[in-house]
Amino acid sequence: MGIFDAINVAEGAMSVHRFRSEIAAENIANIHTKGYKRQEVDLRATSFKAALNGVGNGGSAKGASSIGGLDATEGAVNVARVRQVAGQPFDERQKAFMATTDMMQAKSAYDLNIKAATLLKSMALSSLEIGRGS
Amino acid sequence: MFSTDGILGRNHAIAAAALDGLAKRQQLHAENIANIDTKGYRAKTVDFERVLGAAMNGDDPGTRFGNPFGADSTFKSGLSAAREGGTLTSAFATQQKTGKGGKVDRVTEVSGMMNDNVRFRVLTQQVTNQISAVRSVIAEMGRG
Repeated sequence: MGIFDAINVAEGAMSVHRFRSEIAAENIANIHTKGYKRQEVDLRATSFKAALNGVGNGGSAKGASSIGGLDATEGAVNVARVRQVAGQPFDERQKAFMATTDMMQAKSAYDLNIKAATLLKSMALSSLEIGRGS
Repeated sequence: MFSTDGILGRNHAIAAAALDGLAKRQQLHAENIANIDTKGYRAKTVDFERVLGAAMNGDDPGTRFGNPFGADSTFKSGLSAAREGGTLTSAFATQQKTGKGGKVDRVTEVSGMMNDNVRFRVLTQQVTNQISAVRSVIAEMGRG
């Protein structure tokens, strides 16, 4: 448990949220595609048990086990699965609205994690300054 | 980490413990922020100011605070760790927020992170000053 673990958590979360925005982009791109099912990303926090069991747990759909890639770090966020949501009676406007909301959410979480990583980095750097110039 | 009886003294051990605690808390902030959109996730926090406050007062946990906080193993183990010059991190038990406060609040997390970042920087500066003071003493002795 060190400061680099924390930076890893923030960076892993960035790739998870970027993956969410990619899924949202797919949903937007296929808004007029007949027979296309909207995809939703389920997230989960890596538990200590999952961290012990190693990589690949819980991942069933595409990219699930590789995104985040931080099963070794407890408390990190990871993609549990990508669900296909069928049988929703939404028109195109509503679908576009949902996909855009997903994307905005992912973007906001991504930005927040950048902020976290930046703060952690400056902390790590300031600990390197201990004893310098004294 | 230096022992409390070392050349840098007790203050140094306390500063080191505080740095450990702040780093631990930053880790939890990072985890909370990472899981901001995770369903069912509950925010984690750590309260180390209490442990640290007693250490800074220089109270001996075995005598003065031993009984009032007797049931609190966190408190005791934290202080004895500080006394022995060990790391305090193990004493900072992670708490999971329950109830309404369990949901990750981004303002709380980010402002907490900024706060702890500033504290961390101030502490590193302070440790540098301590080392600088010891150095100047050594230099004076060398001249004498």
